[in-house]
Amino acid sequence: MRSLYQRLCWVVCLLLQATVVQAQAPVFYFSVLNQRSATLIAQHWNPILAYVSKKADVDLKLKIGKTAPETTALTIRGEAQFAYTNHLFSPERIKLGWRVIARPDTDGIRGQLVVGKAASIQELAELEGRYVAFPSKESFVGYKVVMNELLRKGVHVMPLFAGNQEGAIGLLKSGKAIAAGVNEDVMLAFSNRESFQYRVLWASESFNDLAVMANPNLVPASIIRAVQKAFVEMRNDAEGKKILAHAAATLKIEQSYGFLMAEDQAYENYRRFYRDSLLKE
Amino acid sequence: MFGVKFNKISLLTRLLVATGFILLVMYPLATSLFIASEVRLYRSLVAGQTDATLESITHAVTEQAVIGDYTAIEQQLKARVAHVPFFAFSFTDPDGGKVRVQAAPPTLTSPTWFRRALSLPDGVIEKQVILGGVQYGTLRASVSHIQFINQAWTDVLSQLTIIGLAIFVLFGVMAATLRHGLLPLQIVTGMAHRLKKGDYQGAVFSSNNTAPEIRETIETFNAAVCREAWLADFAEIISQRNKAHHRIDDVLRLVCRRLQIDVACISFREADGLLQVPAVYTASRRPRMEDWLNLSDTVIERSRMVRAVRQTDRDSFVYVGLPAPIGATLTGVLNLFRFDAEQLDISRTQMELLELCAHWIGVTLAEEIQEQMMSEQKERAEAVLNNAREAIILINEDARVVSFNPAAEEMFGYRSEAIQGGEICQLFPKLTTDATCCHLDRGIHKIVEEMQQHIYGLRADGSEFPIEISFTAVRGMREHMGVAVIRDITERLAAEQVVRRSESRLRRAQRVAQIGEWEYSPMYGELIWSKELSEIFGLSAHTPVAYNQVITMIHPDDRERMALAFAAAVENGGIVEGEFRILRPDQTLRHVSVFGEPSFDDQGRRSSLFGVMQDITERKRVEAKAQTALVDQLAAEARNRSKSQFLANVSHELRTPLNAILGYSEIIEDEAQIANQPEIVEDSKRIQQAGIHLLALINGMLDLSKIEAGRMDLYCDRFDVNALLNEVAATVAPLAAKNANHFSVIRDAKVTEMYTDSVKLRQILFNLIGNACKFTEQGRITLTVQQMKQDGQAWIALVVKDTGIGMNGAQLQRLFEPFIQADASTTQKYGGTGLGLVISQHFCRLMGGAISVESHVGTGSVFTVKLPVEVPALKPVVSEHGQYSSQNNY
Repeated sequence: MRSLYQRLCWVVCLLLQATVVQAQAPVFYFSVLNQRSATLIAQHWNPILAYVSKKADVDLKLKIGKTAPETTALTIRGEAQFAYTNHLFSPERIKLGWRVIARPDTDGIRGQLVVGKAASIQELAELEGRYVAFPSKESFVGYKVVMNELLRKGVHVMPLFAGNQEGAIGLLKSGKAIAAGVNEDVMLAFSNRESFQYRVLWASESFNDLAVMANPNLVPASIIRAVQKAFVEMRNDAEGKKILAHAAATLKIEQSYGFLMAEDQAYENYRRFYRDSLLKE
Repeated sequence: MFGVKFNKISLLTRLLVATGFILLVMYPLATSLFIASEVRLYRSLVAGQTDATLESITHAVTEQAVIGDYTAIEQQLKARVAHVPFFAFSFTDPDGGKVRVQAAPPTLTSPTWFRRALSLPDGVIEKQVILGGVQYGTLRASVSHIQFINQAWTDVLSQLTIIGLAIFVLFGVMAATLRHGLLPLQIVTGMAHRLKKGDYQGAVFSSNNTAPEIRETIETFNAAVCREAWLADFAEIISQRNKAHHRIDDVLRLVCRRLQIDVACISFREADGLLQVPAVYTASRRPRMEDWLNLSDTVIERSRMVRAVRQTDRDSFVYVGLPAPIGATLTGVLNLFRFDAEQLDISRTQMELLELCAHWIGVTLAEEIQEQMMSEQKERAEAVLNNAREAIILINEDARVVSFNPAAEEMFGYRSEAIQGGEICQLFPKLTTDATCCHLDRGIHKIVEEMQQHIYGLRADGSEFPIEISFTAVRGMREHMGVAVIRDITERLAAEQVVRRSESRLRRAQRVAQIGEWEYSPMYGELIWSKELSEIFGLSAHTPVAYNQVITMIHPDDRERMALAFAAAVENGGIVEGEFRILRPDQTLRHVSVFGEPSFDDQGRRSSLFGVMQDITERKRVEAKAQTALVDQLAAEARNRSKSQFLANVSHELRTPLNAILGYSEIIEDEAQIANQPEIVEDSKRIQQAGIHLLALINGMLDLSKIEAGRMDLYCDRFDVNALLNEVAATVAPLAAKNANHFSVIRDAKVTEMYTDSVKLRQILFNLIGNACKFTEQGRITLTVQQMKQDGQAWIALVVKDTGIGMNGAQLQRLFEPFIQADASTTQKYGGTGLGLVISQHFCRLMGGAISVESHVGTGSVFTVKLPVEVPALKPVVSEHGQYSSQNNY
């Protein structure tokens, strides 16, 4: 009798479990380019993604690699269906079908080539043959834009890749590199946080900050729209504002920002850069 | 009852029981407290360490959990799993994924009760990993305190082991220490028992390691019982009959033995501060004295004891010095040293005894020093007596000899033993015994008076000798004595006599040679001269003279020159030498030579000029006369040379036309013979004979004039003598045959060659042989040639002997005068110029030889020419006219 009762219970449990699995909504992964440490990215993005998931009724989860190239790679492999990146505007990657659905409400980003304030370097030409730190080969404003300018000026440097933006700044700060190619905003935030004084040797034109992108080949259009809407309306919602303020605080950014509706045209200068760039993949 | 039993327990047992009880109770209690303290400290440390480790692990795991890298999470957990008190970690994500890392669980080696007593249970700590509201998983850490509990248990066991060992060692050390420390008390107890029986074996000694209270007890005991023994030993030592320093050594030995002193010595200081050590006794060992006896800064005042602790390079020692007064100006010190000790305890009783010893040592040393000083004085006096070169005789009040030194023995010829006790009068022959055998004072005066009149000594062999004597009376406390110091002055008197005679001869020589000495001191302007100079200058011998006075007496023509010479000698210290004339007070002129040189005092400084002057008036007169004769001789020689020069010139002028006469007369003779005109032939022959005679005469005159003019030179070469003799013989053979003479040559086989002027030698032989042939008719003419050695030189003698008319003595004396033949009639009968022999003689002299002749009327003549085989090289030969001629123009 007891044995029969136990078997019955097992069967009931298995049935319940199967029902739950079938009823469970699909999980979509949101990759974030490694501009900062994984912990900081998680502290920043997890509340935002939780808000978007709730508003769009989509289960969005954060997914990042150890480095920015790894994150880009897993995004390209399709392990993430949404992305916060600017690595997908090269002609080859455009073919993957990724589309811009929103962008942060910021002034855009610039690539900069910076040195320590006390450094003797005054011109780009003086970097000939010297060590220069970069986040990675995938970094758009931190590497590609800056290196393209160096090649255009005929200056050949010895690159050191640190994995992310702050890693490159760390190499500059420790003296292992004489200069660093960085994102203007990341550099400024790092300077404020760590009291590191620097001098800008060269700055690029302004590019829009990283874009919130979705792959229509992997995600139904309705879900994309819902996610887009949630991102865009977040700045107008009290709960969303609160979350954005908290997220800004994790990065020690004084002014919180929200997200704007955006399309691929907003990142046309990225595409132009790839067409004219002297830097080959 | 318990009290009785307790009293029977020994001190050692009581101490061991009490110490053991304390150790067994207190050490566990202390260990428990220590462990409890360790546990509290461990808990506080573990709590902080656990939180920090968990925080660190959570941070590392969170970073990897966000990325989803579980491999990295596992690596992070493995890196920290072995850190005490953790031994396992696990991370479980919300989906049930789990990473677990576990180290080998520690094994409990301590008893369970001990673990419970420490109340440190194991446990698990959980921590949620949440970021941005998303839970990434749960981190669990398993904690175990078994390792600490095991370590604490090991510490307890170690401490218990140490406690056991400590108790064991402590008991052993305490037992040994107490046995050793209480040993003196046992000896004291035994000594006390013996004292009761009157058996005293000496003081009980305590070592440096003896406890102070026990040592004090022993010393009190010793002070009570040792005084009498010490005094007994001390009395025995000082009552001995041996020498003082032996007794002092014994006392020092006693002090060392009684007080356990390493070194005891006596030193004393004199007024000059010198430290002397007359006696040293070392009981144990004797280090280098200069190290530890350098106590110059330790002043031992009279009647004051000094203690000091010293540290030298080699030793550390305790020093005690006690005054031992020796005399008014001499302070003795009794020095006591104990090495490698920090103090030297001396009880009052011992100090009293030490002071007694020191006082006795001072008195004994004073006596010792007094005896030593007297002994040294006696030795010095004997040394003076034995080594004196003068005879020293001591006599007593009865004028009898008491001491007679070796010099006196040698001087008088008496042995000391033989003369001692004898009367001193027997040594001085002119003294009478009565005069000396009175009271000493009077006797001595009398002796001196006598000896001043008759200063002669009398030897044992009866001979007398002159003496010099000094006599001194010595007044003593017990007796008066006289000391006579006598010197034999025989040699001195003889030397003085020699000097006096030498001076007398010198004065006489000066007087005969008209020489006087003088000495001029420029510093004082003083001039001292002998009476001979007074006579030379025509002054009175007693009239003092001054330097300037002498200068004014010099002839005006010589005065300035001599004044300058004297001034230069005074100024430069050189000699003054010269001749000058003086005008004596009687206006007569005298020639004087002077020589002076500087004199130096003892310090080597120039003090005066000393010299002699000689009256050379007579010598000057003779020199003037000789000068006149020499002038006359030189004038005559000059005239002679003019004559010779004239003759040489005339002969040359004559020979030139004469050669023409001879030549033409021969031509006339030849033509007359061809023309068969005998008269003209005869006339021509007469002309030729007259011409040849005249030519020979002229040649001889020419040679003679050359010789007298000093122009005749030698032309030497080396030639064969035999060849020359053959040539001469062949040449003179017709001449010899003319008067039917027989000519022969006798040669010495040793004669081979000569080095001389062969032409002149040939001319000499032609002259001599020609003369022999000329003055011999139907006789024999021989030329004998011999070689000989004389004065280390080789000579050749050429002897021409004939049996002709010979010569008498008068003829021989004039034979070598020019233009002279043996007889005036000779020229008429035999012809000739009379120059051949003269020229031959000159040639012989030029060649370094000589010619001699022996002749007797009617028997013939022998001419001997003696020439050196080798003409002496470069020997100048003075011609008769005093001119030099170079002989060897080769």
